[in-house]
Amino acid sequence: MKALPDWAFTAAVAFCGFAFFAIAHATGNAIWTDVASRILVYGLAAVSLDILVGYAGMVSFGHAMFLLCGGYAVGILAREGLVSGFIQWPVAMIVSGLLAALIGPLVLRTGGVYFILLTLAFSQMLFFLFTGFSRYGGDEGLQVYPRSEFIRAVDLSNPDTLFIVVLLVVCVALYAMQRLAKSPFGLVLKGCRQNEKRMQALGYQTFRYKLLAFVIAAAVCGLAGAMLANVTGFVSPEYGSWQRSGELLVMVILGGMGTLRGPLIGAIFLLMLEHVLSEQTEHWPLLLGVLLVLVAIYLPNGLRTVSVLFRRQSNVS
Amino acid sequence: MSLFLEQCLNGIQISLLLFLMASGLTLIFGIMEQINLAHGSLFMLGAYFSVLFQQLFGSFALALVLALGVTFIIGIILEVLVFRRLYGREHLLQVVATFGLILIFNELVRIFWGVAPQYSAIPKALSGAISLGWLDYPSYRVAVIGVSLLTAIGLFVLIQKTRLGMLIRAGADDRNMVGHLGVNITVLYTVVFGIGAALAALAGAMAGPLQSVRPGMGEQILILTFVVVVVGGLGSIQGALVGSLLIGMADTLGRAYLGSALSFILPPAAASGLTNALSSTFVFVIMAAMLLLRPRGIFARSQR
Amino acid sequence: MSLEKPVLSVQNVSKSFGGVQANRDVSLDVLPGEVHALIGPNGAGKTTLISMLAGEVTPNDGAIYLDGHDVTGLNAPQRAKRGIRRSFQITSVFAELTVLENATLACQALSGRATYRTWRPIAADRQLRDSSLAALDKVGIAALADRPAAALSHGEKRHLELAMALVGEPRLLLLDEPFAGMGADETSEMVERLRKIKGTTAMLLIEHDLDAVFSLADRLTVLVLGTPVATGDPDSIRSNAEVHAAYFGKKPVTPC
Repeated sequence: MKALPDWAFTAAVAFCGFAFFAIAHATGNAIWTDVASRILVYGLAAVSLDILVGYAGMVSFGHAMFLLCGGYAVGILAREGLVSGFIQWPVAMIVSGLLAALIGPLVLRTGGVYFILLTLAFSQMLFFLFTGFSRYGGDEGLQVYPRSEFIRAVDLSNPDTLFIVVLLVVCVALYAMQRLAKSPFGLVLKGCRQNEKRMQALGYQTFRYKLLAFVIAAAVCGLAGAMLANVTGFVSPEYGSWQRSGELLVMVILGGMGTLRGPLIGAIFLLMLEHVLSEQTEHWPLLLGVLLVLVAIYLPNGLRTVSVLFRRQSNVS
Repeated sequence: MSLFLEQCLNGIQISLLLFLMASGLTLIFGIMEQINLAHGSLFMLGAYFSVLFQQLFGSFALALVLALGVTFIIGIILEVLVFRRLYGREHLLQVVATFGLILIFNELVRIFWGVAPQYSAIPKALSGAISLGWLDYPSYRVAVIGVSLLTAIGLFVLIQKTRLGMLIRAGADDRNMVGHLGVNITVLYTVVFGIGAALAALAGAMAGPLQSVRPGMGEQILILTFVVVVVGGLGSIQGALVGSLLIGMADTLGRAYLGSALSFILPPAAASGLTNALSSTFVFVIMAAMLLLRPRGIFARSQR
Repeated sequence: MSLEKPVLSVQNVSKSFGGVQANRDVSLDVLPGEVHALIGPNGAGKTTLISMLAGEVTPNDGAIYLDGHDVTGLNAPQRAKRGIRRSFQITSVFAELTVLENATLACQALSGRATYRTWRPIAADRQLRDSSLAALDKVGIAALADRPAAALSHGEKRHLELAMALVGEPRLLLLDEPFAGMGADETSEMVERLRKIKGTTAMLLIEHDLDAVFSLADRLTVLVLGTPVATGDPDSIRSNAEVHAAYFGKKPVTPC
């Protein structure tokens, strides 16, 4: 069987996105686009986390700190009068990457459980840091006003335009992640997850690769944060709460880690589930909690069992 | 001067509560290699059960004991139903499962007690203050320090002097060895988990009157506990003690004095802005500094 | 004995863990092209010594030289790049990757910067693919290239490990029980494979299968309680009284 080209997955996402957009408008449910934008943004954040968890085997429980970082980059720049998205969004990525480069050497010095606890601790540190910044709203948060400005025809305060922009950016980012997964660097990360000691015996300074992966994942998540700030029109320290980090991890697990489509599916599943459950009962976190315990015990691979079959097929080239 | 002493005593009191949390967490990790995010939930349950039993029986001491007992049993049930199935599995799964448990417990508490904070009263006998020479210090806090200290000493005696303690030490050193000693590991694990849960509940029940009892109260102390075990060294009881003292004192004194320290260096406006942000993150700065010096904590277990 | 400069020279190396002395004052040489075997009873410190040579464990004392250069302060990846490669006692191939990908990881480790590339697909690199296939071919498993490594038999996995260790013509090959867990047929196949490589690269191997060791090694060093008690060619080791006392338990070994 011939393998699908690299861009097929990205094209599929773009196609589904536009199809959804058309259907939502045709059926008079334009309001759906807001939810869809949110799903895409969280999906991208989850994919960036999967680069760490599923490829490099680095379980981060603080990945949402980069959502916070990217969100505040946009919020603060907008507050200070710098509204161009061409500057805001790259700044969001760079600042998130720099933050990762700063704490990376600390959290990576020791592996395994320490990495989990330390990423959590540093994300909490950032959380508390921003609750104390009264100039930027403290724990009340900060209105993102105005939205990021690109060219005049693109007005992000219009949910439809925003959706299209988010969809395009997410597709470009997904394609880049796809390239990364199949690159020499991607193979090194897979090796690190499976047997780090063996990698070192082969001559890899695994620390450097893991640090680079940490920085890349942070930058991509920072981009997601910049978009989330535009989708919600608001940033607050809650962007980086440990619950948010936990949810990102859940998306990766549910969809099946080590693939790119997995976290996207996980994001759709989790956000739709929350949407549906929260309309039924205010105590929906209880049901989600039970689901997570059951998944961890009985379905450790999430939907990965299914996706492995797909991967087998696409690998035969 | 007396204010400083009072802050120090507060710091010690918080440190000891942290130790009760950290010792359980570090034992569970050291012996079962299990990462438990829901340890804070057991703290919260301890506080809520203590409030419940106070309302039912009117006695703080009885409520404390009952809360301990009930949480011990809940800990055992959790171990049997959930944790036992996760030993030796990827840490990722343990994280997801215990994240799920946090959601469950927070929501159950909301269902039974609502979102409004509950107030746990200070027992009458301890509502006054004790004169300590320079200052009058609340008797209740003195009692908390006393009980925590006794528990900590009891824990060390248990670990150093008893057969159970010998097994716990052996398990923390080399998990495979315990199996060779012909010990029923399953029971050992369950008991250790129960003890950890009871310690967390004790901390929660005693912290109840000092803070509001509300859903999610466990997470704040959980994060500090993580910082403690990271600084002290995962799996080490001595590390938990030293880490608790370091972090508890740093947190209390940082919140109290960072502002005045900063105002020496910076203009007032900048200082007050920074103080808010820095006083709540001070412990993390300490943690980062400690990590540079000792990446695996003060009492790091050898890697072999 | 030849006057060639040794590939590996270990000088007075010691290591203890806590209170346990794993190696004490170990000195030994490995000459170019020779197969040097480390034997000794369980707990003699063989595995610790190999780990120190590979750079995974730092000695408390002493120095390690590769081709006359002090490598004591280098970590495992640095030593691997200098040409010290190892195989593991417990088979450690990357089970979720294909056989070819396993070999590719070994090949591109030596290419430096290219491993930081995040854009160009690995499949586009023909040269890398060819050298990876060549590495597999060297141990006769090129036909298995597209199989997942997890699907290989134990013997095939050991061969894959050997192929990965042999990439880039290492100066020194550290083999930690290369015949562990193998049946008689697989063992003799592996002995043949190593005999073919013999002479092209120096090897230091730990092994419990004494028949295989004596048939393969040029020289042997006997470790007892972390210290070498004898070094010499197979015949002299067989007849060494001290070795018998400490290791074989008085009774002379009859060659088979």
